[in-house]
Amino acid sequence: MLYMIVRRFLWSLIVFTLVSVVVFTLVELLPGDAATAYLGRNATPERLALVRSELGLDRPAPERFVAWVGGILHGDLGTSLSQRQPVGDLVWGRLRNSLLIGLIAAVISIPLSLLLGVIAGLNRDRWPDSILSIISLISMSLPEFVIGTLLIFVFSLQFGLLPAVTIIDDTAPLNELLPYTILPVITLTLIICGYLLRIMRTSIIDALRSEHVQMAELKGLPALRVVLWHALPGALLPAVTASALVLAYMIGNLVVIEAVFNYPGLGTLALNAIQDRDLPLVQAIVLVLAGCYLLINLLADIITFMLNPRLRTLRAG
Amino acid sequence: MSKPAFAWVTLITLITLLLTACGGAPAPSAEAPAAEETDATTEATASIDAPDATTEAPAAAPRGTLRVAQPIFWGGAESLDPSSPVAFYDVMRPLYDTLVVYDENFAPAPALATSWEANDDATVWTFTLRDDVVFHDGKPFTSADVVYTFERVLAPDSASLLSSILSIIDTIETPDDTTVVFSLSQPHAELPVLFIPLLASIIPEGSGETIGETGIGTGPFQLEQLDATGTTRMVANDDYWRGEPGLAAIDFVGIADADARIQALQAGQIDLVFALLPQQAALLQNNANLVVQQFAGGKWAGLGMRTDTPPFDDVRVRQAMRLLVDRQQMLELVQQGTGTISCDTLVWPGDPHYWEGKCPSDSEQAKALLAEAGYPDGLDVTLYTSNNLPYMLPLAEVYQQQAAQAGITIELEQVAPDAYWTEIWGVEPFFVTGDVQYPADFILNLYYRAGSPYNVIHWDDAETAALLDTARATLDPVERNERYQEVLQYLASESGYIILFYRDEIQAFARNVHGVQPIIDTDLLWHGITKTEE
Repeated sequence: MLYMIVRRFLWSLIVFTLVSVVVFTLVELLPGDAATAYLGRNATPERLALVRSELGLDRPAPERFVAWVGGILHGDLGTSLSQRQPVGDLVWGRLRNSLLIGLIAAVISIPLSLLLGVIAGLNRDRWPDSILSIISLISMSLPEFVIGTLLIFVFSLQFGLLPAVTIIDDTAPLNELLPYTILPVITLTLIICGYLLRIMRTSIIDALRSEHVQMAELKGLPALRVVLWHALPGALLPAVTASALVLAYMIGNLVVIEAVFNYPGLGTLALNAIQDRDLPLVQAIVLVLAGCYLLINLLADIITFMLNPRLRTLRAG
Repeated sequence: MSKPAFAWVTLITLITLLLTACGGAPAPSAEAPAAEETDATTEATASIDAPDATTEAPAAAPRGTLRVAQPIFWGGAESLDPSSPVAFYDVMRPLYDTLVVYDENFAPAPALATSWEANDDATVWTFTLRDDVVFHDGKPFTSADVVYTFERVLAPDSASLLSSILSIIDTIETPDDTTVVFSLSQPHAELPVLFIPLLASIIPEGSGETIGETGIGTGPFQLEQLDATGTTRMVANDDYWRGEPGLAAIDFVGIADADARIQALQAGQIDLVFALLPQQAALLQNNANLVVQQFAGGKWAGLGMRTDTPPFDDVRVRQAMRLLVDRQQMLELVQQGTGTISCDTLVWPGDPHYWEGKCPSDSEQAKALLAEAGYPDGLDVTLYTSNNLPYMLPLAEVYQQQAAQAGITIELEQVAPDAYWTEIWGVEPFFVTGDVQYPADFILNLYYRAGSPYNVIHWDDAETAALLDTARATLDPVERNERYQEVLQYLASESGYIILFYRDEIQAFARNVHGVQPIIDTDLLWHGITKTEE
């Protein structure tokens, strides 16, 4: 397993490099640059030239990229072109906030959707299954901003229970931030559950059909034991892979969800950074997100590895 | 667990869900009776009724903190330097003063300057300043600060829009601490008007390097924290020269998404939202906790045609393009009727020099003009637009449709918002444009004067320059107004702008907020605003 982790780590380095090259190229290809974004209507050729030289944008793109990579290798993420502050300072606080809602949502939604998926699978085609299927299909098919807006309408505007949008600074202490995380977390949870529940349901149905489960049932083992000991482990495998995919997909959703709730996370920072053509900031955010993505997949692989007897014995032998 | 047990679990979950859902039902009906009061309480006024802050100063009652929802324009790069290209205008009026402000008729009224007078031909202007004003850092305000402010605006490397307009200033002298003398290179009878916009905010002498972060001015509020994407906080300046401000503090809360701003207002997290879209205002109209204020404003929208580029270098083509538009329909479709139509003039209806004009659509005459100009079968032109501002795309689409009804085909090209202002605006021959409200002489010289950065139609016309110079130089107010009417009428038929409408300003605030004047937020006087206990 150590071998796998080391191999993964080396692969990540390659992925990081590719991602930064692609992102750098894409942002360069977009019309305009940090200087035109900064000057807007007030841009004249002389002022553009002045701002470009101030920001170092007058150097050729490959040179800037190499300089940026050099900085990264020394642990320097560079300076934001729009806010003229170290990128690291801007990113870490926001990362904390995004991780906060991401982790809470994952911790709630993964066990919940597995449980509901099992319930649906065991009651296949009966009313609990139908109701859960309808709910999950709705939450899957509604765009995240619609879910978010509906939640604001119900919980904030109708009942006044929770704040509608975040009106707190991105560096606020966690306990002050918590009330603002509730609605984003519910939105994320609904989306994740929608997908995972469906996958878990199918897995359980497949597992219940498999020969070893039928064998266990024929031996007269109690139903609960059959489900927990014989059907569930096999059914969990695809669910772990799917969880990783869904969580990774959730990273993309964060941008929209954070915008709906004005939540000060990486997503809203990324939106601003792209608008401002703030390459160092965009690069740093993309690297952090790519890192999360790789980490999630690595975790999923490790869990799969531990759950799957065949893989375990393969390495042992 | 047996199968019935699962059924129980799901049943309980379901009941909980249903209870939550049912709980939502009674709420709207509970709100219904309150909504009837709204008509009486909505302040839909078009007149300006600025309250006098000194008489309205709150007694012993504790002063509130006003929370204002703030769009995010520069992603955190916002500067408090009035000359910066990324100036944070929306929070500047509380921090800074200008020499001159508007009175209720949009004529210049004293602020940091108590009085002013010109010599006989309006080439030398003497401003007398208040002697009892201090900056937020305790430094007294003197004529040296005024000189510093304007010399900075006029410096060759200045990015301020004012620099081209104020370039008529030759020298600024200070005989004493409360007197400033501006000597002009040509007569200008309305110089004080040019000192009203926020661009002319007075900053302390020598503060150029730091003003972007400190925001030290003489205004009713002083900066505590600048964070455009989070909360920009300012507290009352109790030594303010107009008297103690009515609020203890103002929080400008950055909320990027327009719908999120409205939701925050509805949820009571925010007290005040400026610049609502007509469709958003409709959502709030029946909310008993809110006041929706709608009034005629001067933010305008239209099209620009480069007058140095075929086919628009022919005045007949430009006139034809104007005649194609049904402006009333345009206003209905793009702004849901919330606004005033414009007959190709940039001077808004509230300005003393407003010229109303008449501009019915006439496709027959348009076709005749095009035929005369050598385009009997119509034109082949592309109209560029983007979605930088909400009206830009619908405006272009309506124009395309209206032109099509007259048999003129217009290609629409929607470009990414990113480089619109640098790569399309003033570069392509035909594009959507629009801007905020400025005083007449300011906006005319900004948009029509050859060499001005905003002359995006590349209008280089000796007649316009002569008319503008004559208008400025005319000392008699009545006669001067006639001269400005003359310029406007001339430009409306000759120039390259098709100005379609001025948008109404719509702002909404909580019922316990008082003293928000129905004027555009960048001209709002903040010291008179109060917020009472709920």
